[in-house]
Amino acid sequence: MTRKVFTNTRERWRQQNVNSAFAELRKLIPTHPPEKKLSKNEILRLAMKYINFLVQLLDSQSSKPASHSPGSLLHFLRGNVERLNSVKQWGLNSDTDIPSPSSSSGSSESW
Amino acid sequence: MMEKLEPQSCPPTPALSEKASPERNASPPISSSPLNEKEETGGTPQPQEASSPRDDASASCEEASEPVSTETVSSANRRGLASLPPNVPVISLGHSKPPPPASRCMPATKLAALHPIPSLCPAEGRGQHASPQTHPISAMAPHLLPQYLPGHPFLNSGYLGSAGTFGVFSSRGIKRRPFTHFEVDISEGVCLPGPPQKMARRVFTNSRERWRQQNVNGAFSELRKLIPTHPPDKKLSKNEILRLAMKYINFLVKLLNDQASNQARGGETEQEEEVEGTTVTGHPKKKAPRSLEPQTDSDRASMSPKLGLKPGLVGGLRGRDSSDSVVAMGTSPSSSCYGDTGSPESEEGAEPRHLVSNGLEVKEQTLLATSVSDHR
Repeated sequence: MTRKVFTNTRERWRQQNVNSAFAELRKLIPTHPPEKKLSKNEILRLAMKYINFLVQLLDSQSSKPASHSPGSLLHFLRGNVERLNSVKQWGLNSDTDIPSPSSSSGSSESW
Repeated sequence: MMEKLEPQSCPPTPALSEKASPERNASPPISSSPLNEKEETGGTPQPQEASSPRDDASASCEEASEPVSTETVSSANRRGLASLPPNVPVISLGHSKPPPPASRCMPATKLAALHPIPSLCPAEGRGQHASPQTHPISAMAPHLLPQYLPGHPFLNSGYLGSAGTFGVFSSRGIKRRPFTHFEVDISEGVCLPGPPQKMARRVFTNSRERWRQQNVNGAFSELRKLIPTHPPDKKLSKNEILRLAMKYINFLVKLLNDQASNQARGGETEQEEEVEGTTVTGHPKKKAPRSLEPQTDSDRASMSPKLGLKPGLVGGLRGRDSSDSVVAMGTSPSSSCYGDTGSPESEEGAEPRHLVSNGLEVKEQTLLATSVSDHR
């Protein structure tokens, strides 16, 4: 019986660890409103979308060494509109804010 | 989607269907109209598919359930779970509104589906409210059958709405309620004597939970595909997947920010150093002791197997503070390992890009290595 208790406690501790990892990952995902409650499934899928988005962004910026082509960046961002719209269904309206660091500070220069 | 449920739910729940038959017989003509109504109210995108299978299902259901009609109706009336025409309350919910005389039970049933036991027959008027909500409820019916087909029935289900593959997301707000009601419905409406009734509910709950869990596991594996590791097919626990995803996202965001700010300064060649500098100094919580201090053999040994870092690259990490090491790492063969993992940056051909990508590799691998070791 003690072993069962021990196993229960360990499993609980392990689960708490996983849940805290979920919470931390949740903090990184931009949503609108930011404190929107997301289920585990949603957290995972939104994280996927966000990572894909960031990688694509990086690609579009890095594919041209100077990254001075506003057209390519625009095209990339426009290509994300559909994705963002689909994401908006889950209230992720702030995805549009993601490009701001690069678009406002970076691409504004190149534009 | 309601219609969808019927064909699916009919077969798995013959016992339950026995209850619903009488209503069904009464309301075949009604089925089409309420369906249309429901579709309008629920706004589910998939009305057409189910119509034909629904008819078949209803026919089969009708055959299955005959005798219990009076009982069913009475019990349904009592409990507000009108012997929904579709055998299983699940199905019947979406399926059809009963004729006005029977409608008293039907809406009540639907309502009951939405509200647990208490609100048995009270609200015919609430039938309107019920109908849109019955969609998700009826969407749950397939759970009984396709529990072994995790994604597909639900992907097609209108319940998922426009979310498509992420259907679990779309009607999240409504999702839970129908489920709970469902359980109640099954126990209530089935009217099976004691144990079988509880067993049916338990089976339903189990299959639903299994489906849900499979969904989550699928999401985990897909997220795992996005996380660059070495070797790429390295097994990661759920905890690791989450934490590495965090690190990766932080890394990408930081990289983008650095790139943006460095572009303003005019030149990508600065970026790698900026990135490196940031990595080294800006993430003390992540990797300060490991990256700045010379790595001991034990550290290297512990880090390498975890991420499969090649010795050249690991050794290069020690000398990262000098730009020479960056160049050295850029030309080292181990940089290709990142390309093997499919990281798009490393596949770019331009020279500055190559250096940047190597800087990325170093930074990311260091991050990953650190995160993994930190969490061990």
